[in-house]
Amino acid sequence: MGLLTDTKQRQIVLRMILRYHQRLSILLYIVGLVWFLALAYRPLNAGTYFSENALLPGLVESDLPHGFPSLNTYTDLLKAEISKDKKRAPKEWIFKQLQSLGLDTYRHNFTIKYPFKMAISQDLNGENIFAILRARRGASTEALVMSVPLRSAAAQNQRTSTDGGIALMLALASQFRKNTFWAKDVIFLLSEFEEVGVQAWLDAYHESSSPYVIADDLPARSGAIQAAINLELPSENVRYLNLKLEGLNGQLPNLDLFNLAVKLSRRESVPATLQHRRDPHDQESWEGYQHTLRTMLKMMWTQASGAPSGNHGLFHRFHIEALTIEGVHKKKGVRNVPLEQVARVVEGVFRSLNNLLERFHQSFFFYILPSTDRYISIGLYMPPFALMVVAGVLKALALWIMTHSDVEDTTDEKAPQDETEEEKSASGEGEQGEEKETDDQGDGKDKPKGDTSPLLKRQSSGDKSKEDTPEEEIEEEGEGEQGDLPDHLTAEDLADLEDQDFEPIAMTGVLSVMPVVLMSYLLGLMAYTAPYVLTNFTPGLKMKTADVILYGILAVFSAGLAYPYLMNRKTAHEDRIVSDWRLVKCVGLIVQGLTLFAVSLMNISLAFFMAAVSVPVSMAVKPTRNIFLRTILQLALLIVSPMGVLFIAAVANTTMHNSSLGLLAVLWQAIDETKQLLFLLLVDQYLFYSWTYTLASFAFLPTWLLFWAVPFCDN
Amino acid sequence: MADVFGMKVLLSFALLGAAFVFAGNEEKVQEFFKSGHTNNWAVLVDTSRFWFNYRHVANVLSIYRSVKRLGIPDSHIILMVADDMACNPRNPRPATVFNNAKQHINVYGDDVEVDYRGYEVTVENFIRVLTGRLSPSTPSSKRLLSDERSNVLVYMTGHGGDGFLKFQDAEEVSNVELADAFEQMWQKRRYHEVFFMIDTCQAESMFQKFYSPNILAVASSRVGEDSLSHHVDPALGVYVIDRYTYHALEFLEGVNPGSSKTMGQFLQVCPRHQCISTVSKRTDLFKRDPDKVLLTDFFGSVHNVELLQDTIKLQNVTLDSSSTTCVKDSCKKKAAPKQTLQYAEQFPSPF
Repeated sequence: MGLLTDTKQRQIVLRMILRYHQRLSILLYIVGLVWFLALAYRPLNAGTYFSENALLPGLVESDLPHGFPSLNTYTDLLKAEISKDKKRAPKEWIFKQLQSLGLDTYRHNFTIKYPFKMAISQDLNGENIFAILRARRGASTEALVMSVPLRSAAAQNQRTSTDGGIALMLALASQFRKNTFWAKDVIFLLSEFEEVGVQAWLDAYHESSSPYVIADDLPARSGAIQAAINLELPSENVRYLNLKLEGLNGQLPNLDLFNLAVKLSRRESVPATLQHRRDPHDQESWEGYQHTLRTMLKMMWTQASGAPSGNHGLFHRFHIEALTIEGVHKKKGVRNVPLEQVARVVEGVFRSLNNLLERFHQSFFFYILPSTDRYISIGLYMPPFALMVVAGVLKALALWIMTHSDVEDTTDEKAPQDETEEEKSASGEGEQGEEKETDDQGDGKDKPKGDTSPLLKRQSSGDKSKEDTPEEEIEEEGEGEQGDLPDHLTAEDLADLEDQDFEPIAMTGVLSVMPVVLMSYLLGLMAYTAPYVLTNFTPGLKMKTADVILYGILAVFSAGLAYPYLMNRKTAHEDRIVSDWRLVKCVGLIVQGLTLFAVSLMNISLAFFMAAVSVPVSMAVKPTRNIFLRTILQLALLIVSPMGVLFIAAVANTTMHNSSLGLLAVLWQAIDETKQLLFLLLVDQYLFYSWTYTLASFAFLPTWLLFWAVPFCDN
Repeated sequence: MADVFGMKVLLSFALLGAAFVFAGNEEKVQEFFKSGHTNNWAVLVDTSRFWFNYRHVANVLSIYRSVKRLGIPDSHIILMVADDMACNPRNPRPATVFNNAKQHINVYGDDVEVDYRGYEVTVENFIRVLTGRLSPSTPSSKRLLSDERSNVLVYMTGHGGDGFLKFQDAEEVSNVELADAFEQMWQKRRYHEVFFMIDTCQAESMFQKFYSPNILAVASSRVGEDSLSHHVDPALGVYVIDRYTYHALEFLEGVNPGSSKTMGQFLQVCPRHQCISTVSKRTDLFKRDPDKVLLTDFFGSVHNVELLQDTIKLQNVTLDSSSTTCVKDSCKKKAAPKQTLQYAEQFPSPF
């Protein structure tokens, strides 16, 4: 900073920000939102393509015999086996089948320790089965995984059956065994308890450990796993294949893997869908756009939760590209495809993966899909998202300038609008003064930098002697007091904008925000630890864990709602500047911007939804004496609070699953759904290291609490 | 007896690289020594590795098969293959390489002598082989032991760009380096004529910088054009051959050692509708008319044998007549030094 900075230009920028920030930030938000949603429109996104040469997708013809008789044999045998014992998956039989194929077959045991201390809680034992097909001519340094979740017939009431997947795996295993062209080992994995089994197996494979899923050592392993395909196939014919990508914490597999699955299902003329939605025929039409937009939003919705959408989701943690191929059977309809064709798709995928020379790295890891043949890369979705978030940051900037240019005015208790007006005139005056000043300085004499801001000049014009104080002194003083400032408030900004006279008051202003900030983060910490602490104390209460957690969190949340009252009472007798609402809001907006940008790099969907709901409310929030306006603001704030968003998500989920319900029924079910969602979030956090709950309690909740405090501040 | 004698004389002089004048059978003898070379060499290079580049290995092995069939022995072929496709675990037909989906010909056949394989195929090794600057310990099977009466066929295939050819995903040879290598060969009298043939993308760029005499060059594509593959073998799951080489091979399969097909005809191979890319050639450095040059001058090793009744008295004019095959510039240079010519040092001595 300093000599080369054109203070006059900066002044113009400041004035522009002050004058137009309201309109500009609203415009930025709307443009960003519309642009983001418009990305689903075909001309605005890009067609998928293969980046990886080595895959050679679909070049090789299928090796499977016509009709694939062994698939039918295994399907029948499996059916007979399942009918013997409906409660348990036929693990023993599967194990023997794999062994009789001549594969290295092993059992892998693991124990699930229940994370919450419950009355009924006890350790649960599970068993995975896996078999390794060693590549005859390869070095066993690389491996591919084909996995199928083991679901007993009883458990299949809730989820689709995977019998078809098991039969297909056995049939393909017998086929692969005969082939000579494997350059990589193929691991056939059957996991119990869905994702938990996969988590245990992967932990054991990579020799990492987890406090809640305790896995035994693996009796045998292969090389580095390059890709995994999870199969969820019913034993009947399928209508279409649904591809599930979303993994833990919103991680996605490399786009090449998805393209590969799509390309091969096209080759075998098995329809492939995303979120159970087929591609529209004419993507450029209005109907087509609506269709792709809904597909995109549904995908983002799944991704935003941070929960894996299938067993593939756990592989991403270990940088293994994985997706789930889910076969969907429709009872009526003639266009069903026999499993044999699905087998050819899977075979083709594995043969392409076998060709792979390096890990997947060529194509995108960050993308959103509006249809199976179009994609929106990070380069396309970041600009509109940035616009949305920048709207809030711009507002924060304007507030910052305001609070530091006319502190005198705040003591006059003027309405914020008036202040803006005052600001305008003030800066106008300042500029005139500045011009004069530059004329005077025509001889080129250097002036101390401390007087560069015209606003400051106006304030300090009464004190000529102060004006000549060397810059360093001012800076030093400023520095000393700014030690406690948050990082994002740079010392220079303050030094430039503040005069000696009112600097101490302004400092008090910034410092005054600190208790609020600290308090909100403390509440965040409470929310984070609450489930664990509460469930530790409640086994005696004979309540369901999910209930305990819901009520516990609600209690913490209510404490959060009440904290502004507590703060206010305490500080009532002190100086009013202590809780300058503009500073609170300014800090809140900056923290919000930081949080959203940071989250967007990990999980764009979560960041987008949070930005879409919270940015407009957080921009609008301000203290007001108008009870009606105040109530509306608080209501809006409640809706965009983490609990509110969770409830909205529950409502959305409920309506998505059964759209025929009435409003009341939906709301009633949504409460139950909220409980489930919260419980699942926590289970994911403890068992799989999901970040969503942590983010909610350490990032979204404290930020929101800052805004919640604003209406309670003095006007 | 006289026949045998005459033949022996002709052969021995031919090997010495002699030109001569004889009153009676003058025309016949001129005709006999028209090509001016006494031995043939081939340097066949595949520069790319990995399973998905199967076709490049098939390309180079196809040309190898042809030149061997037309008479160049393994000792005169330097074959550089950057990857072993036959033993790649992904190959569903182990120990074979096919250049056609019909799998008629296993180009990895019975006796393939690969001189430089795998990571031995580097730019440095390639340039050293051409220029002869190899370490003394290099076995002669890995050397290009050509002389000033050698016709050398250089065939290259791989992934190229404008002005370079990629070696092994790790390095590349530029067209300037290649041109300098040929000049060095010329100065060191390592060739009589060179036929340079290249099948890569933007292949034309590789011979644009050549400036040494007696080089005839043909490339599969122009600058800015891609050179395309011909077809997939669905049983193997890879592209098996490139378009230009496929059609060149089709032409070569119709040639036998006694054939009178000419280089001019060969240069017409693979018109645009077959290759999709434009085959590009360079004839300005080459002194002879390609239409009058036999294909076997480069692709075969045909020892001309003519039986005469008369005894011919030959005059050894080797050292004066080196100007018979040169272009304007180098002719001047050649005319000047009259002292006995010597071979340049092949490898700098440590002292």
